[in-house]
Amino acid sequence: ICLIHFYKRRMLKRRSPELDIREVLSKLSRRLAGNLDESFYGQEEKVSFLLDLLKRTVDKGESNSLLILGPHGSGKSALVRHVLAEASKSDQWLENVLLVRLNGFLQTDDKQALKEITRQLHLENVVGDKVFGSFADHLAFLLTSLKVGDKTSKPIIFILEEFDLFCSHRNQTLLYNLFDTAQSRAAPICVIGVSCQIDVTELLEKRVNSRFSHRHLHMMLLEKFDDYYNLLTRISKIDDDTDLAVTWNSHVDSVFKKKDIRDFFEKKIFTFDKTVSHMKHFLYLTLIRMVSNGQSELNLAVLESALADTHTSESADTIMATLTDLSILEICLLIAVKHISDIYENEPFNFEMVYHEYLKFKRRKYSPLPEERSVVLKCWENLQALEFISPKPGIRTTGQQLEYILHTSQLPDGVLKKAVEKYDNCPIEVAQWMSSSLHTCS
Amino acid sequence: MSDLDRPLCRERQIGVLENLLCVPGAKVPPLIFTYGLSATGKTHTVRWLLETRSIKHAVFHCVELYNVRLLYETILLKLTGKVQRCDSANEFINILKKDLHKDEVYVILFEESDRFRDTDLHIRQVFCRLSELTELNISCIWESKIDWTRFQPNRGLPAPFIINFPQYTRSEIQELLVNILPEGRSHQFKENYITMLLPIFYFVTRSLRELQHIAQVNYTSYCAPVEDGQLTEKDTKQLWFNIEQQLNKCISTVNLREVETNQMKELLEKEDEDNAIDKGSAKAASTTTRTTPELPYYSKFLLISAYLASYNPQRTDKRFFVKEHGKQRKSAHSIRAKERYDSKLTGPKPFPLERLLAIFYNIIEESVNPTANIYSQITSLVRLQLITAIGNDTVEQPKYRCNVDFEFAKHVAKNIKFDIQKYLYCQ
Repeated sequence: ICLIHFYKRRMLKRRSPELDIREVLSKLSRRLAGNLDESFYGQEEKVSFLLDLLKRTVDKGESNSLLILGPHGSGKSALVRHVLAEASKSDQWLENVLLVRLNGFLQTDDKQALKEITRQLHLENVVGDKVFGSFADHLAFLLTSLKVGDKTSKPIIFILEEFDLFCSHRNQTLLYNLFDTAQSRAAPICVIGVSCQIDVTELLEKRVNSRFSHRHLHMMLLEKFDDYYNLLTRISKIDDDTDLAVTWNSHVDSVFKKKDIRDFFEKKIFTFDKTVSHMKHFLYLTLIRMVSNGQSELNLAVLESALADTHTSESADTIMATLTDLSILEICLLIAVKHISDIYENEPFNFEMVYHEYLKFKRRKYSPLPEERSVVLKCWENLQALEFISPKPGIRTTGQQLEYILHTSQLPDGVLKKAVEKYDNCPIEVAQWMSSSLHTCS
Repeated sequence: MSDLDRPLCRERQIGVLENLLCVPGAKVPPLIFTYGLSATGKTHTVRWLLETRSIKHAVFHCVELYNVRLLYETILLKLTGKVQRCDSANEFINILKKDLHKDEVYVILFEESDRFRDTDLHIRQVFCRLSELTELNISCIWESKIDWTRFQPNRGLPAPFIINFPQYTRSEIQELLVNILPEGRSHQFKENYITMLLPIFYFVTRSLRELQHIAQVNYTSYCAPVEDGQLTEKDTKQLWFNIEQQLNKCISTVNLREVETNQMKELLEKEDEDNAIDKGSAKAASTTTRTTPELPYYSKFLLISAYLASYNPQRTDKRFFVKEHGKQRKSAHSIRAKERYDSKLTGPKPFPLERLLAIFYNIIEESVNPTANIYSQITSLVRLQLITAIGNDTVEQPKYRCNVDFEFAKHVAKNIKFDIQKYLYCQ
């Protein structure tokens, strides 16, 4: 039986992977598409540090405070999620610990924060309609109402995401009270702040700062490409035991060992953006590409085409794509704008000047274009809506006629020229006008 | 309610959206960004897909963002089916967590999402990260005309999945327009019509909506000779000749959508009469006839004086309006100065009330008493927004600026038989 099993396995491997790429997508999307995944690889010391801190609060009743800092996409929230998932595997945890998660985007006010804390601690009934003198009283009441039996209250873990937004609340009352409680050991709480601003302690008031334990955990982006690449290989694999997972994982292994793939990742992805979120986003794009094309093998071509999908490719590309979508009249207006800016050295212009320039072109070179002012004005407004031309900031526009409001151009240099070259069936006179202003020729 | 048809010429985008949203068991990306010019089918495609695949969704147009309660309550109503009161982002997230299921796919479509940039920062962030905050399988589709690079605020937003809806190519527009025309004629006939129509208007606008409107408005008159029996469907040359003039006139109203078919006909007839009398008048005269209010006699002169006061520099008043003025030597300097000055390009200048009245008394032929009647007519001109009052100094010396353009002033002047061209400093 063992031998048959062995041969079966070998036959599976020899057969070209008949992967259902959609299945792969659905399994991996959990990790790659959103931010809810609970797995976290690498950086074991940070994981163990945080886990240890939490365990001390829960088991020994110590109060602690900690700030996790790091740039966007370096894995702060992921770390917290992972540690909480790990810790909640023990039963003692689930019974004893209360978790309160606050987010700076949602609780924009200390009052809201307090209501949210009440809600997450399931104490709405207890609080009822009581009116409290101050924030401190309210919080103290909440904590005392959690006392269990022999005068020790349950340990509470506060997780404050977007910590720097909490610093901008009035008087920083929430932070003051939380850190105060943490320091005075009235109840065992653990306050963990997560923020992308590295100098967030500067934002804290003096009294809050003194109560903070100044424990920091810095999350860094991966420096070495090897670590990055190992992580990349790891997260591309499915953590299952199904046949699909086995085939896919072996396929991933074999593909990622190739040198050209490795070079691709090093030069095109890692040099640009070292964050893990970008890595995940890129892998997700690759998978989507593979599903659209119906192919089930990773190769360099699909990686290259997925790269073109990321918005990190030159932003001028998206502007150029929009420019090639405009009508000829609008392109002519933009060319007129460019010539005026060249002649008058980037002075702001108004519609009348552009229209005047456009009429010169139309009358001398290319008469099929329409001349009506109202039609041209509509195209002008279209360009304004697309933000290629915007009113000069700082001037008053009330009471002025639309045609005379001064505008400036928002197009980067050189994009218009490339767009005109790429434009489908562009009339040759327009293309010539682009390259030479009418003023230079006779 | 799937009364939407399958969008044509958008196969690639439909494929991508299907892969994002419809793969069973997959998690949808938290933020999808679709961008493209107007009338490229962005909303139509997304809504068609959501409705035919029966994905629970909510559509919200961001022009209603001025009130956050509207935002939250509309979305909650569409997603949960219950009317609930919701004031803040916090409550919104809590209600979503409570009422929606963890495994179902939900989608919220935001139209014109560039208005998000004008709201508070935290609302933008909430809707970018909705799936993270609620721990549900929910996706936000932001649809916009402007590309993503102009959305970046100071705090980073998560990278969205970007789908571009490019403008239709010429052949695609042809196919789409042929489909829009009403039933009853052969396919070839309609194709000929569109092939004749497109080259004229393709320069000005490639927007499908505008071209649709033009095609539909002119279709009846195109079909008229065939209906009457004068021509058959195959006489393309004659049909073209018939419609050509009308289309050429139509080009002056492209993008404007000002008139429906009947009014258009009346206007064209009236213009034909005008043209028969006065061959030299520009086509644009027809546009001003639509918008001229009827003014009393003195008001017309006041308006002309205001125009002259705005567009002539003050030092030239003496020359134009005073009978005894000396000769002016044309030096090289003055010629160059005159060439450089082009007030039509820079805009109207403000002028004090005294100057307006001085010019007014000058150009009006008969003698006029400075009664309150004149002053009240000035005020009514301000009300009509033909002149703007500038500044708060109404006691000492009120200042005004003229708001009408040259075509309008010329039209009014022609009405009272006043040659405005003679009095203008620059052409």
